[in-house]
Amino acid sequence: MGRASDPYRPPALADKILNWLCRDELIEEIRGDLHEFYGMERAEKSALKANWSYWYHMLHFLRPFALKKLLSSNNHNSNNIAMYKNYFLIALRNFRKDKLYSFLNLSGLTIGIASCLMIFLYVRDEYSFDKHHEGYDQIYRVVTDLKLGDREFHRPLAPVVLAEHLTETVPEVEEAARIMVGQFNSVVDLGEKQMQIKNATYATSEVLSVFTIPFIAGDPKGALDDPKTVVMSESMAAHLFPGEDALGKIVTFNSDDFIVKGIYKDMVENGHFKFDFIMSYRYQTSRFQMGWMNINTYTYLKLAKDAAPETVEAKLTEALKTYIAPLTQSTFNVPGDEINANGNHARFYLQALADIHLKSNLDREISVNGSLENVRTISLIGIIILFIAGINFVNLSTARAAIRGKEVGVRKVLGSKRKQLITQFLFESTLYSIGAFLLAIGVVVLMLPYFNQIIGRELTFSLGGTPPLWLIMTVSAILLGLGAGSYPAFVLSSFNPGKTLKGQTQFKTGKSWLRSSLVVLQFSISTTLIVVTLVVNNQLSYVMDKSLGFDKDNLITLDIMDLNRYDRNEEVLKNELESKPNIESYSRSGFVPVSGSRREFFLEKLGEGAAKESISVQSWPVNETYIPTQGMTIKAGRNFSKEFASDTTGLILNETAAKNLQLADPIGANLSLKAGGESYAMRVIGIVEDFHFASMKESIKPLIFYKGRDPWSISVRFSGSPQEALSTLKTIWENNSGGQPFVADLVSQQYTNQYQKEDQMKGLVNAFSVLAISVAILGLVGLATFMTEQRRKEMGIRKVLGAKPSQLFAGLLRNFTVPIAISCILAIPVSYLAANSWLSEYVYRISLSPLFFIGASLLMILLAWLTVSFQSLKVARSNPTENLRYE
Amino acid sequence: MKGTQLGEFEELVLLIVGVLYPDAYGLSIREEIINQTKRKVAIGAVHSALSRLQDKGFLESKLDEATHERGGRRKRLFAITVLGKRALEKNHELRNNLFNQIPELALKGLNLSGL
Repeated sequence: MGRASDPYRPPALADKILNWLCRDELIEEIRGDLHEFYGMERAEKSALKANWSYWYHMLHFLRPFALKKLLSSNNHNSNNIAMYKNYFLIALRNFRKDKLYSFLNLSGLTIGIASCLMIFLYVRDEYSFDKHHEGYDQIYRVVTDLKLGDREFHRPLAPVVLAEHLTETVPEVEEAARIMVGQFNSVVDLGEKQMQIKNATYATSEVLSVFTIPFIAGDPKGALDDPKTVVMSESMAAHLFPGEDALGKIVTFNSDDFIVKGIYKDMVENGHFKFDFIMSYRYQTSRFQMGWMNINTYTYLKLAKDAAPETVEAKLTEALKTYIAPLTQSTFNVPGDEINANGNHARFYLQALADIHLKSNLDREISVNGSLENVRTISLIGIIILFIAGINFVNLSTARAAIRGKEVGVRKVLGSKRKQLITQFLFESTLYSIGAFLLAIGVVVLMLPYFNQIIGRELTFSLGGTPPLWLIMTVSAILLGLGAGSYPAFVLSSFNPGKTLKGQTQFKTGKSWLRSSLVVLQFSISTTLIVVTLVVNNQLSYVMDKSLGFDKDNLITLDIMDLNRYDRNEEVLKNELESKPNIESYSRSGFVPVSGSRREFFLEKLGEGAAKESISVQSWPVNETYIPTQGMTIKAGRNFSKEFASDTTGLILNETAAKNLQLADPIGANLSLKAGGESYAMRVIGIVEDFHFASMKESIKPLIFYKGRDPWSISVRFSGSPQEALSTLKTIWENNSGGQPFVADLVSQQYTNQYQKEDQMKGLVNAFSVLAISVAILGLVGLATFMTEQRRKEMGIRKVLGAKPSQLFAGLLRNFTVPIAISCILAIPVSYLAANSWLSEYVYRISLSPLFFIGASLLMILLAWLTVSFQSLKVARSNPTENLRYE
Repeated sequence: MKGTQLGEFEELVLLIVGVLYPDAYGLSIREEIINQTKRKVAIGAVHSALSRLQDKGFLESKLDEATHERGGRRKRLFAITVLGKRALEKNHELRNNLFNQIPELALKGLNLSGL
């Protein structure tokens, strides 16, 4: 139709919205009225008022009568929506009708989902490490892997000069950042005051640009170019200069004055390093001569966007040949052309930054990295819990098939197609799953603090993230609903209406092989979890309680930060300490046996002709008080003593060292000790009983003590309570240490820390095994209730015919005992393999006694009986008239 | 039954369609409602009521010829059907009947308290 020109033009956007939302057959008259009205309005009012009023009336047309049917393009299919409404209503009614069943189903799913959610948060956090750095996928760390002669060296370190060489000669390397000495604690002087600093390191200015470290004061560019410069974190600045502006201030470290060039926001927790105090790398390189054989620098390369790490690795191999090979003869006694032959190897390789936290577990990592194994185990447990909850859903839904059978029959008679019925049941299960997800959010919010305690993290719950959690949750809710609902939907929709309406059940509720096997599966998994939990707990308490060869309890180590200040007062301090009743002994040497200090020398047996044994040994310099202070036992010979001047060439071996050297008569044997290219002639004066100085995952290595001084720490043995001893120590320390900070640790605590990852694992396995088992038990409660209910009539008849309640009870119990017993038997091989593979990491381990399996099986059967007997007892004891009357 | 009840606003619209015959369409009905009752009514509300009344069978409608004042768009003209007339009469009768049954005293009391 032709359109005459409007005298006034109403707001175009309003018209568009109207066009878009209104039914086509109504749009003409509506727009007509509105336009006519607008014309009248404009004739008397301002354009603004008229426009406003036009919008107002337009919005008033957005009512049901005028709106397009959005869900279907043509109006024929409104039945669909009505059907979904009906499904929803029926689901709700069924939910209300059988409250126990609904509760069991929903709570099982909720526990499963909540566990999975928490585990998901943990795993996502583990995988998020170092990903906050811009362009993190272009950043790589250089690792050196050498085995030359007797020396092995596999560390995330590279030669000092490698970074410069790479930036000059390899175009793919955009920037190379260097860090030295990892993460250490020390002290700085601020005038007369001495303050502790934590997480200190040396780094080049490039570290500040390769990694994303936002500055709040100062300029990161070239901030660490001068040797005596430092940048620090916000919290360190607040610690050192409370209430002042730290920028430009002077900090004295190691008698040198460092100027504060910048302050950055505290580094995030999920990075493989967290520095609070970064001094210039040049400070180290300017003081010491360093070349290709000084492999002591964490080197991070930022590669060009499309550069392949392999091409850089090829360049690294070239550099190795050109610069390292000529030097190996003098350092390692291996000719340069043999570094990749005769069992030797030498290479550099690159590690992607994002892989460091979970996949790198080398010697000398900057901080303790995560454990991919823990992440995998816990993910597996999460999936298992959800799986058990899913089985519950399938079992309870199919068990109740008889009840829903009539409904299915009626629907089919009224013309429902099978497809529609499947849709209905899938819709219902999806509703359950969505409901459970919503409840699980609440559970997670409540439980997260406890979970954080177990894993030692500060996880928070938010629905965001990439990809956003709400999206993941929505998708999983639907998938879970469809997954768990598909079998029940398939079964329920298959009923023959004629038969179900006549009252026959086609689905034999008592004897479904599928349901039984699902129960068996559930309980095999649960039993396996119990066995693994028992084994993990036992092994860890074995590790904690095993006699170590020294007494880790009642032992404190103290770090000395400043030798000058300490040595001035050592005598006073020592005397004061020894005068206290709760201090038993004191030793200046802190080779704490648990931290496994690495100082490897070579020991050679002299004489005896051709049978020359050479072994590499841990070598610790100690004094005469060390062995008694640590509580070690001398097996043969004697301890060092001040009375023998010759003890400077004396050695004390541990049993393993003596055994490895195959000394017939160890005491008095002459040995040659090789250290730093020199050989020393030594004589064995004693044998100390083997003690554990590394993780229980390693066997005890050969070790020697020689007389010397490790000046940097003190060990103190005390009696009485640790708190009291610590406070005594602290008072004496503060009076006599020249203002050094008090950094003391209980050795038993350090020992426990060594098993932090395992302890974490134990906590996780314990918590989630309990959850998994409770979900399985919930399912059993539901099934037991339902099945005993089904057999009420049978029980009534049996009773009338003379069966005793105890017989009925036994019969009902037997029904459930058989599948549980089968699952216990099935669980034995699986749990044996799982427990054994976990234990195989330990050299010192418990043996897998059959008691674990018997205990777990008994526990499982007991739990099942407890669950089932309540219902069974009720039915067995009930009056038969009640059971038989209901029809 | 629910479908054939006449709501208060619907009754008003139905009456006004009768008053305006043969020129009753959305906008004119709204104008008339505002003039006669001083009620503020959105055009959409009138259309909605018209659509309901037509669904119930109380109104019939046809599209008019195009005119210039509405940008060439046709208007929908409404007229009361026999069913509509009957519904109106029934309502009217019911009201009258009920009103006549109110005892004198009740009205007096109202007047008194109104004073």
